[in-house]
Amino acid sequence: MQIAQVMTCNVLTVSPRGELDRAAQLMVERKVGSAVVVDDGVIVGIITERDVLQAVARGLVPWHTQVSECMTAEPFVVGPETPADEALALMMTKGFRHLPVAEDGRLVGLVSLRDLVSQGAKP
Amino acid sequence: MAELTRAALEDLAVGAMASRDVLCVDPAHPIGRMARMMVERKVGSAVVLTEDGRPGIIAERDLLRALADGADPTSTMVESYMTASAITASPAWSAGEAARCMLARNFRHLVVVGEQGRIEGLLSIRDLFAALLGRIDGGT
Repeated sequence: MQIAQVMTCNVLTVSPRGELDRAAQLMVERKVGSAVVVDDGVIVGIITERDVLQAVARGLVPWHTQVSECMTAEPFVVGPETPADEALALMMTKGFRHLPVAEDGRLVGLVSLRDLVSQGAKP
Repeated sequence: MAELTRAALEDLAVGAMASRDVLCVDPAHPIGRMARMMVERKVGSAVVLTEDGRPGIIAERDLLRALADGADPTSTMVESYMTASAITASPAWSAGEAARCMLARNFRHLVVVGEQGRIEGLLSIRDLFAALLGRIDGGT
């Protein structure tokens, strides 16, 4: 199974200069747990619920904090043709729940642990 | 692999997969304090101990909702964003039962409650998957 078969194509993207509370709003509206941070068409980071948790734990004020201050910069990226088990191994060893999927440097999707689990857990 | 997965889904018990070291928080804790406790303990969710004895649960996702609402982490209480009466599982449940329950209800955590209503652990989708992978990779 390849990542292209399980990834989500309609990915939420946010700007590194956006505010944290606005990014949280977009994630809640879109019912997602992460957003890819894109600047001028280039993937510069990923922001997940975990990053939001850490920002709040650090005492950052959500409406005075930019996404760039709390995102994970330069995230691991997989390709649409990466085998699903390879992506899963990467997630489990590195502790990631989400990986952006890029082709020729362009964002084409996002794959989550949940996407992989739903596939694996089907009887 | 499919056979191994199927067998593991039936054999593995929730009690053996769940994290035993559960972070418990008070409904009256501010969510900012809860966030610090979660980061210190390296967890993404906590059981909320309520007066009625039915555990609630609060996770990263709930903190995200709070921020989306413009809530101030220093003054917003856990009880405003927790899921009251969390889904509970018996330690004897199989991995398959737990996975189906999580997917059907769209939850990532189950509070493991033993006899006499004692909280014995918390099972996350990650714990479940790590256990399944361990079984499959181990080839037993």
